[in-house]
Amino acid sequence: MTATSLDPRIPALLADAATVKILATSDRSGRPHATVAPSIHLDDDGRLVHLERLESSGTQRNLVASLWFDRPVAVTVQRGAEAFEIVGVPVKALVAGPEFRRQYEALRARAPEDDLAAVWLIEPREVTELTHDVRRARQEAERPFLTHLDRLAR
Amino acid sequence: MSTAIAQATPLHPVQGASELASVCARHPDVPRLVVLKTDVQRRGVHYTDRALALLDPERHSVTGTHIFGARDGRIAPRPESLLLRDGSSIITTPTPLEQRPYVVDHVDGRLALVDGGAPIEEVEYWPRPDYYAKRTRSGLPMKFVVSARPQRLNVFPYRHCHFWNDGEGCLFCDIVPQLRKGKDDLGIPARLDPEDVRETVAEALREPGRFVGICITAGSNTRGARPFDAEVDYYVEILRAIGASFRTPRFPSQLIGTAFEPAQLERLRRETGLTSYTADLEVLDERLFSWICPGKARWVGYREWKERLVRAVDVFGRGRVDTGIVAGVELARPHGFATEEEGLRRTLDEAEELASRGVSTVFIVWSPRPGTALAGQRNASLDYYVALAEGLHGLRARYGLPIDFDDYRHCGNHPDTDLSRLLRP
Ligand code: SF4
Repeated sequence: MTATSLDPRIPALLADAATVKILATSDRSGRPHATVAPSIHLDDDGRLVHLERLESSGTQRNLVASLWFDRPVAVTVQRGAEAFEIVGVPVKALVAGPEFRRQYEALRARAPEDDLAAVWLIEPREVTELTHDVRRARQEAERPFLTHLDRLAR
Repeated sequence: MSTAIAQATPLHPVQGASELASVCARHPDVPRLVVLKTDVQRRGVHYTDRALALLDPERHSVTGTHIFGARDGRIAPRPESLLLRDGSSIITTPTPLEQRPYVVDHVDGRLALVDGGAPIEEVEYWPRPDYYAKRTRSGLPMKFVVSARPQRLNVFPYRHCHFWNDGEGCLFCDIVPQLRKGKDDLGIPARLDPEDVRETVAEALREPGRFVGICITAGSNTRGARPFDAEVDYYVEILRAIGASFRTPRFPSQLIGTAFEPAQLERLRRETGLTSYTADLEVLDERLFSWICPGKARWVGYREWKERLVRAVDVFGRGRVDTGIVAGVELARPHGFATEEEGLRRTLDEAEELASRGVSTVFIVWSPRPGTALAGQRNASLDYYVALAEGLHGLRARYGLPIDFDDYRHCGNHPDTDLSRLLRP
């Protein structure tokens, strides 16, 4: 899935400071790791941008592994009841150059003690709506055998 | 240049475009990008005119201090080197087309590595640091005082090596021929004034988020009351000049020097903010060391060099001392190992002994350059280098040796330390 086919609600969700964003990665052996990643946003090319502040973090290690071995990562975004999962692949780590510097300066302006290890670009490949009411309605319509009977009783 | 010189028997003979794929298949735990980087270091690059048209000296790093030469023997403004998508660097030099280098071309609006006519990976030129546009108060262009990699500053304060005075320079090295060219063509002084270094480093640090480390290296200087005291004296001066820009007593730094005696190392540690130390053995075999590094062999000796490295761990700490090798020279003709299999085994055995005593080994890919005593020879197979990278990385993992000071950010020239990016502390 290309970025242009992202659900039109996602850019607004990603731009809202009230949205919770979780970045889930795994290492080469499959050990999972999830972290709250408030910096995630979209760039002009429709890629997810994650600012990784620590070179020594598990997320940094796992993003490197994903880029090297073409393994997907998942980003869950949720605001109120509305939620999406974006599965993507890290395609680039910026460590120097104008965009890295711009992000570094902006980050340090917000948090003067902080550092920035890399600006990660993640290409979205697949989007799934996770909004609970929407998924329940879909399950009830498409897979009627999965429902407890008492919920259907008179 | 094609060569008639016999080569060591390769581990797994494969030729051509399939080589990258077959080596990747044989080493599934080494990422393709690291294999590719190693191969580009091994084969060199050729920049097409279209690629060079994208080079903008206002935005990109153009070759600067030329302490060591290019494989095509030219000193000319060209891209300093390349960045990969994973943030690591490929440090390589322009290579004559007849030696079958990778081609860097402009493909579909991007800069790409091309092999066999097909684009295989996107690359970027190194971004130019701000200070490259400035001069020191003495009038020297700052880019000739301190050169920049994407995340590290390189200070080459002394461009002569005294081993050459007696015709005992390392056989793969061209520092002295380059010094002559640099002085004539560029006006770079052989010995930098510490004040020029101080000013340049201070200026470089004004650029936010650019650098994570400083590397200082120079040719060996045998002079002094004890051999190499003069080299240590000068490093102390230079390191103190650099240290003036930091508010912390220590700063992330690496000195690549001769194997110093413990008292000399203590002095470096005590009188400067230096945090790590490297003394390159170049080749991990006593017999080959004596042949390839005659100056080092006569002034220090292979066994003593190793002992000094081990003693340096007491001064700088575990994970802060390493030795570099120029991988492939151990196979050079006529005295090198006859087979890659033997070269790999012997090198890793020696590296293990060092690792067990707290010293890491890192490698650079030997690129035989004109102007060196081994010009015209060929380096090792890709398979050899990848196996070596896995082996050296495996030793660090086994012996719990961190390599932060010589990793993809602080150097970028060691495929083996790139692999440490996946290591859990
Ligand atoms: S010690 Fe060897 S490699 Fe280093 S500068 Fe001197 S001759 Fe060159």
